[in-house]
Amino acid sequence: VRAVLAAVLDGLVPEDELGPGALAAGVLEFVERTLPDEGGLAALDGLARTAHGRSFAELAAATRDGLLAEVEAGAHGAELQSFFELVRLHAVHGMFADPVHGGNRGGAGWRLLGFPGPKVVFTERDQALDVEVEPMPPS
Amino acid sequence: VTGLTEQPQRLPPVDVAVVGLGAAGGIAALRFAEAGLTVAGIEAGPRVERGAFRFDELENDVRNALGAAKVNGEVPTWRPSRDVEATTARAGRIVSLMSNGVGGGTIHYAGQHFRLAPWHFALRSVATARYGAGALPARCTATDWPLAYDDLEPYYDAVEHELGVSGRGGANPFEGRRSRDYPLPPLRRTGWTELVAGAARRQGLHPFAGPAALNSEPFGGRPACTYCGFCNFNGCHADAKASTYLTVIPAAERTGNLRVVESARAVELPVDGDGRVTGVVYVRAGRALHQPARFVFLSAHTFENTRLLLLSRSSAFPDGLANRHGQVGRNAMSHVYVGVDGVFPGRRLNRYGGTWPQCTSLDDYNADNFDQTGLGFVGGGCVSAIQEAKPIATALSTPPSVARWGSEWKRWLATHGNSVGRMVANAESLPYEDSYLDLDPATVDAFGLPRIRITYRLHEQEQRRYDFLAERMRELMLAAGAAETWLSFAKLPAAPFQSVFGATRMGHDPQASVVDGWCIAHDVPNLAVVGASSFPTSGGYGPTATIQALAWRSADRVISALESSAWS
Repeated sequence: VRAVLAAVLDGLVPEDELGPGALAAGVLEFVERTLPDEGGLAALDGLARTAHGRSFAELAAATRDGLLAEVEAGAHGAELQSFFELVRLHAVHGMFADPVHGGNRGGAGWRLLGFPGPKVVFTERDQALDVEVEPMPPS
Repeated sequence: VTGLTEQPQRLPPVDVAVVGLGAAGGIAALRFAEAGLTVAGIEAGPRVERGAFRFDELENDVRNALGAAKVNGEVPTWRPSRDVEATTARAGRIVSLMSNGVGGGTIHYAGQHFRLAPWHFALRSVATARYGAGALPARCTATDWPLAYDDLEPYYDAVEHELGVSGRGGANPFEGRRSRDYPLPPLRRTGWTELVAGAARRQGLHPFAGPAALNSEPFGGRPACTYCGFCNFNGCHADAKASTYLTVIPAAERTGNLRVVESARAVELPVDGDGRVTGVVYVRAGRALHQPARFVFLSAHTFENTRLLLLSRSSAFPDGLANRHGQVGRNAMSHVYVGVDGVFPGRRLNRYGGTWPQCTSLDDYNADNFDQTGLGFVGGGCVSAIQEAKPIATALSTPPSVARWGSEWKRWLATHGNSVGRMVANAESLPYEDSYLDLDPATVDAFGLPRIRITYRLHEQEQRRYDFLAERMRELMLAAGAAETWLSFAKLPAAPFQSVFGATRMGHDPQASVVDGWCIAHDVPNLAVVGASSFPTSGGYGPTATIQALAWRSADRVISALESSAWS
């Protein structure tokens, strides 16, 4: 089940030229703690085995993403569709929450967004248009 | 109540028991205490620790840490109509983002501080005079308020100067008469809010800096806002927000007349043989206590005001306190929040820092400030272009034309994350015969008490008003330079029920309302029920300024009645 979840998260937030994905950012560990899994991952795995003859965790990236897109669109039922939305929500939480919660390791999600990190004071210049805001110092 | 068997222990009596030390209760407690009355302030939540607020979107905005003491365990059930079973889980969207603690909702509110417009107090009569008897649908139960804007104006003014509100009088050409300017200048303008203000002016609209109960300059011994951007759904790290736990409540305590009883859950308002309320029964640390009082000032959130009345059954009030005419719970409404996001490619909008109330607001589409002939609805909402963009919220709002996950999504966020602007409208919503709160027959909270059940659906006027405001905000976004716009949050079958109105509404007619124009119960002369629950209509702004002005006015009425010894 953990491998299936890891594969889903890798599809949702892949590592690419823009930076770390969910797995390198600690989102798997985050989502394992927060996601109530009531059989959604097993259902997803069953879907992969039926359609492609192997575990979801072993699918090639393109096949995996195609299956996720079908699930997102509701092609495999409303229940799996809402499970997808739940996993996506938790993945976003893990990727963009304060790193103190275990995800967003090294501020990877915040760097992606250009979010400078929490700062006690935002100056007038920090709120001007088109200026680059000094990021928070690395912790 | 589960697990409580012994008789409540009787405490020494006080003049006034205030139930709920939030926006309304905090203001009233200070009025009572300064008048020399003894006050017990009974608050379900704890005292929050000053300076302990963390910049943590997950804990605050998502998990609602400030609701842990109470509301997170009593999310109301919801159903669109009475023939459907009510659940708490309907797409998770009937949310309960209240905060519990001494200070109530003013701990975590954004701090916007708008007065209602004069029109809001006379919606039914003015709308039907201007647009005909059909302006409101047959089953709409909206009434005029039993008081006019001018009756409340001195209290709006008093609250602004007591708390310290930032703004500029007259900057909004649609606002009602005001006796004084705000005590503080507006919050700092930002690149984004000025971009929208300029575009609005070019469109012939009337933008202004939204008023806020946040210090733009030091006030009341508290420092100015540092624009950190993490005070919405959180307390202020710097004490710059005029939350009542920082302002009126400590002032009331300094008189020596207010005793704050925190983490104390009111469970019943008992009555005597004459049908007068005798005080408050509450549970604290597992013990039941009875606080006798000459007067009870019920000032909790709309949900709890309603629930406590319905739970307080007696032979004098078999259907719940102050409910002889079956009005408690009726005429409930919530604002319908309309949000529009827009992307401005290539621009750094820099909304990551700063606070929501640094907004540019406009009232051109609020109240009766525009011609509603043929639109199929009355009223509108205040539109605000807001500062404040936290990372989770930013990542969750992308245009429908873009993938919502994968590398394409990441690329969009990396390219445009800091280029998204947001506008939000507090859309008016109206009360209807089939919109109400009652006690859920099946679902209880951690105390074993029934939860509130919401029966509510968006009616046609609310749908049309939503679409109209979304379209106006879209136009303004495009005028400001947006390349693409989309709805910030999905249009739902109900409203989010964060600000909840009605349910114990004010009125002249005891057959059609629960309290009079001073928020004193028609049926119970020594009980006031105060808060957004008193509102006959929702208004097109956040309610806090009006809640506090009503509380001040109600408290003054109670004080003069108690001083004339109308009640022993």
